[in-house]
Amino acid sequence: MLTLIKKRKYRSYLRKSVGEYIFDTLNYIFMLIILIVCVYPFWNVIMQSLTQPRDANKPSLYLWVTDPSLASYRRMLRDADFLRSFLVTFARIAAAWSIGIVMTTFLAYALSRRTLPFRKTITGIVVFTMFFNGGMIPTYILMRDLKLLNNFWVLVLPGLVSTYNMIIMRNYFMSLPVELEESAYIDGANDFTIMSRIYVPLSKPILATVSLWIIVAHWNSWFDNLIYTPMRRDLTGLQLYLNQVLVAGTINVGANPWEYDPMNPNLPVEATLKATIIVISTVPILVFYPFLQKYFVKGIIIGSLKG
Amino acid sequence: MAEKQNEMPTAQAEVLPLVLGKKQSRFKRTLKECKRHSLLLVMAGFVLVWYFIFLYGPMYGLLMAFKDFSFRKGVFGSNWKMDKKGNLDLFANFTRMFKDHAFLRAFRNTFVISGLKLLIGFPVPIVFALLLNEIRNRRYKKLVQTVSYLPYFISWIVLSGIMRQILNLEYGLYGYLVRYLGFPDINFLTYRPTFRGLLVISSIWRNFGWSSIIYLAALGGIDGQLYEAAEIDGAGRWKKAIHITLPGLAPVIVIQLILQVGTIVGDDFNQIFNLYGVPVYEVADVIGTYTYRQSFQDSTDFSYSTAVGLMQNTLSFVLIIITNWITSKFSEYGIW
Repeated sequence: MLTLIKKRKYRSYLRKSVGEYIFDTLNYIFMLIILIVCVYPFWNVIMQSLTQPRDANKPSLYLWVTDPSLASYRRMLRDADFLRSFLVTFARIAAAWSIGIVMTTFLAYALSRRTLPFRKTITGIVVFTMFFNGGMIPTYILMRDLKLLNNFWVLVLPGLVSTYNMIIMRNYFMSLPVELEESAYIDGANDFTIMSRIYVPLSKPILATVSLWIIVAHWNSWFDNLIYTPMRRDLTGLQLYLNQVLVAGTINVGANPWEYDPMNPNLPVEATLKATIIVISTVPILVFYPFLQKYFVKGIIIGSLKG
Repeated sequence: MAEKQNEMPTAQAEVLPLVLGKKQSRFKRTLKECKRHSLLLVMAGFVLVWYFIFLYGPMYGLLMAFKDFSFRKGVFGSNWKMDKKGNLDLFANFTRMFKDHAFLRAFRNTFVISGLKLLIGFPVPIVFALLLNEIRNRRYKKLVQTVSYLPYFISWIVLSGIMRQILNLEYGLYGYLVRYLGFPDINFLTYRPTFRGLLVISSIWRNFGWSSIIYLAALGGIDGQLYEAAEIDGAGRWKKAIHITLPGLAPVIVIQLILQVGTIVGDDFNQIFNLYGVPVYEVADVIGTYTYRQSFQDSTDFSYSTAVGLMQNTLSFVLIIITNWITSKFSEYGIW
């Protein structure tokens, strides 16, 4: 009996007032608006890319396409420049990731050991670069002096290690128990073995996070491509290609002029072609993103706390 | 008893070198540690070589700011900056900067645009996190959260492309609103009065979800017992938000604010470069885009561009050091 009264009394605290109902409803609607605001621009472009060439030059809300056309997809998936730009981007990601992740792990592990001699000095040297750098022109001059201009490796070498990633990884290594190292050391293992056999296998989540950051950075990178490889059209990566088609307008993918041709009703036009390019180049991110996003979040939460 | 006596010397033998080790010279100790960790040092050293080449290497190029750089002579061979009479005038590029109308415009725009983004954009993720925290349905919460991060991973080039498609008056979504719903017939990408607004809104749109992560993490860290105690004392949701949630969030808010003030000299080059055009230079040309045009588009005055870049870097360096120093005083957040 007593418990029943208690229960009822407690429930009264939890009962929602009218004001709370209104607030909750509005809040759910507000979040729905946020969802639409975040998704709709992408949806809009996807629908636009599927529009029939004859309808493409009429403005529309692009909520739905009743008779989709794949004409511009057929056109773009055969475009040599577009496909090559994907290859260049994949190549730079492969090179930068495979070398970069090893280098980041080496430095992060070394700096995570409190017994490392000169630890503070090395950390200082590394962290300083986060706050001060030579800037655009001196870096360009260095690439020129190293004879790296117009060379594939200029897209890879300057960005191999990100200090921010390195620090996230170092913090993670520091959060693992130091006894692992000590006992392995007593058993006669050397630092490299301890790192590669004990610490790295325990750090898979952070390795995934950092790998993803490296991949996203190189996937989105374009400015180096613009200023360091001006004479090599064959080294144009995806983002620079997108810049040239969508922003600068220096590459024209459509028939000239880019208008609907009634004699050729299946010839894609500017609006759908540009939308198609955006969709094809964003799909890889949209497909993998939901599965991988937790790793990104993990990184920012670890990285914001110092070890 | 006999056993114990036997133990004593061995224990001493183990302790003694440790005690003596402290008395060893610092140099000898360091040498010993270097020997023990030689592999680690090799690993770190290998990466440090990269740091010296690619991140410290460019710094000799900063000399260009004080020189009359010529490609033929290189950085070291170029002559020092002279005035017209042939006297040494090392800071000529810097004095020129502050007489240059286009530079002053870029300088002003950088502060105004970053300032607006900070002023308007800073509260957005906080409010978003607070409201999202009130959503009880876990799945819905997770969905909104995940989707709100998405734009952060799309490059500004693609986002600029999407914005151009939407704002296009001929075939875009905005063209539809103009034609059928009587919206003003404006091309926002070249329209001066609203261009900064476009920059601010698109920047908030891209970043608010991502910036909210840190606040959501802090919200998750608030002790649930506080809420239970408040409930028993008769506090409603509004009271709980004011008296528990906000104070719990306050340190993170302060730190984020200070850190963001530190980046106010920086400009979002990728965003502005991919959205702006000649008609809106007056309100949108920032130091980064100005430097780029000075060196690769309108002219190739590398000495002058280096001077501009050096000025910007030094300013932001000083600001970041100050703000980081303040945050590390107050909390465990911060970079070192």
